[in-house]
Amino acid sequence: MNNGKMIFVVDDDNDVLESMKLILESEGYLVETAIDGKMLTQKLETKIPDMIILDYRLPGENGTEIATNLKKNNETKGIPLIMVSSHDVGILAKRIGFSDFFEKPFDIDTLVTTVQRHLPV
Amino acid sequence: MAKHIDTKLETSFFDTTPLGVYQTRPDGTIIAANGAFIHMLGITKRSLSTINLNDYPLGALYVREEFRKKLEDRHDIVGLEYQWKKKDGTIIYVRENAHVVRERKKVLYYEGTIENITDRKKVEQELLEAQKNLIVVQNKLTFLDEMTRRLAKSMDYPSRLKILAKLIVPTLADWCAIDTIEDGILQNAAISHINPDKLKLARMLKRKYPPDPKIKTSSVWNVIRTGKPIYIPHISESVIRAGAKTKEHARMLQEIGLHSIIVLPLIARGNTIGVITLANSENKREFDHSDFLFAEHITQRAATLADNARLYSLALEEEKRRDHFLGIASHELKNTLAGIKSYTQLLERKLQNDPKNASYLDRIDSNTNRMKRLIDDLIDLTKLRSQKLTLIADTFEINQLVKEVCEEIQLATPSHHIICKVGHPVFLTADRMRIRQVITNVIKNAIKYSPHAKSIIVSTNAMGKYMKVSVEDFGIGIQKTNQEKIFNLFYRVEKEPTRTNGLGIGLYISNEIIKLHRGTFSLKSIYGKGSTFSFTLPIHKKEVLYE
Repeated sequence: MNNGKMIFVVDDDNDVLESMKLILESEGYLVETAIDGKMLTQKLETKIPDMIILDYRLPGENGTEIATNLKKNNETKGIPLIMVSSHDVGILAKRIGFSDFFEKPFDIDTLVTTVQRHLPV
Repeated sequence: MAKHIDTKLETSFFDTTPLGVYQTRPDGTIIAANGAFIHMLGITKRSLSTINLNDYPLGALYVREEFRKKLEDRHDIVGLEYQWKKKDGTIIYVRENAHVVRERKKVLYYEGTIENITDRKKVEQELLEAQKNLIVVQNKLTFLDEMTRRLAKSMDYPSRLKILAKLIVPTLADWCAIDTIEDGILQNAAISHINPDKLKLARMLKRKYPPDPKIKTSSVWNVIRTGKPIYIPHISESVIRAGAKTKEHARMLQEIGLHSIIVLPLIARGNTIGVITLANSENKREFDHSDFLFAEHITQRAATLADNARLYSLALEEEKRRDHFLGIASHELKNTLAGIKSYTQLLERKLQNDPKNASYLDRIDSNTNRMKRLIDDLIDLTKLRSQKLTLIADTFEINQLVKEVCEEIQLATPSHHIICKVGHPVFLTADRMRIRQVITNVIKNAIKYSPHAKSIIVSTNAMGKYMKVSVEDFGIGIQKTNQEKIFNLFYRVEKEPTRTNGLGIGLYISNEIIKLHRGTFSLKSIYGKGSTFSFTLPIHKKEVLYE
């Protein structure tokens, strides 16, 4: 039973990816995961999600670099972005186009509330 | 007839005075002269009648004819100084006063006095020499000052060496090369040449024929090995050819102008960190011993200045590496915590009907929060210590933030009543998250250090240009002797609560954050009664908080 909204989660830590997938799926979202910007780009070629959650520290391009590229592309520039990072990086991320951010380790409630705030069902 | 002035009356004055007194005719013959005059000329009384002052070498080295003309034009000469060659060839310096004696328009004779000023002239010349030497020394000091000043402008190691090479040429040498040695590898750091065309040649020379450690005559490598300078005031062509690897090399060496050379080690803290080569071409004079001594002196000072820059860049590199590592470490630690927290909370949700076990999971969860705060404190501390903590400016209402924090902490603190006394809304510019961190830290401290009290009072006060936030507790207070140290890093009051949670750096971090905001922390405490911690924040909205 899902609400039809798709979220891509990008993080290089498998446990984090799995737990976020579990949590969001139990809230009814469809979730796909990627471990870096390259994998995200590949996925975006076949489908466009309703939200992307990006970890700041990723191998290769970091979260802000990926976001800059997404914003340049017509197909992806409208997708709400959530940053997972330290507080100061998060505040600055909001100023460059991220809809919101939260820190790690995160409470399940925080993750869910933040997602629902920008992707109401 | 020439007369020796020596009558009784005159003897006491004319003959004993060291001043030469004379009367001469325009044709150069002597009418009368005193003893001093005779002595000065180095002649005898008898020959007075026969000598003619116009005759060189008896006459002055200064031509008498000009003297006569000047005298007749101006009627007298006062203070004329010139050299006079005595009969035996010795040269003396004299000072002459003379005037013309006429009868109507006809010149009868000249009268004058001559003073031997050789001693004075000698002293004058010595003074001039000393002045010249003083100027040389002053120039050397100026050079040293200039060198220190210019080198200090850049903390970059290679730049300092380049600046040094540019300073040395052309003031001290025609060209200069500075090489550095690090881990046994010799590298050229700077070259300067008085002739810009030859500079290209110099660079090519260094590139194609760098100093070779295998060549025994390589002065650079000899200096590195021995730590002693090499000073060759005159280099012959054969020496150049002997030190050259190929004919082309020899040709380049000759073209560059290697006539006189000084090679010095740059030694800092006991190690040779480089070599300076100074060279003069044939057009310039050879280096003398004082040049060599001065070059040594400069090199000693330059070595320290260069080494400082080198140490600084090594320290910066190390700091960069450390910060990079800390970022990765923090990320890894938080990822691990995220894994623990997420699965703990997922489990907790499944145990809603088993509150006891659920509460255990809650304990695990709150420990992950605690761990996260520890990691954040550690990172904050390293940032503060290397002055890398940056603030993000935000405009917000301070009273609202204070209320927010009070409410949040109250939820988790059943033991104390947090009384929040705030005033009218005040907007200010600050880093909201960091100020929140400070307020949280101060309130939590107040609770921790008043375990037997029932309340905490948090209040705000608008004081003109500043906003003051105070937290009062009713614990046992802090002794006067400890009050100053309380904001010091790692300070902890002894005999206080047996729980020693945290790293003990909370107040230090809070104090530094407030300082970065150009505010101040203060403490009022009465031992036995309680303490009030306060901090101020400037209210100006558009103020720049930090560079």
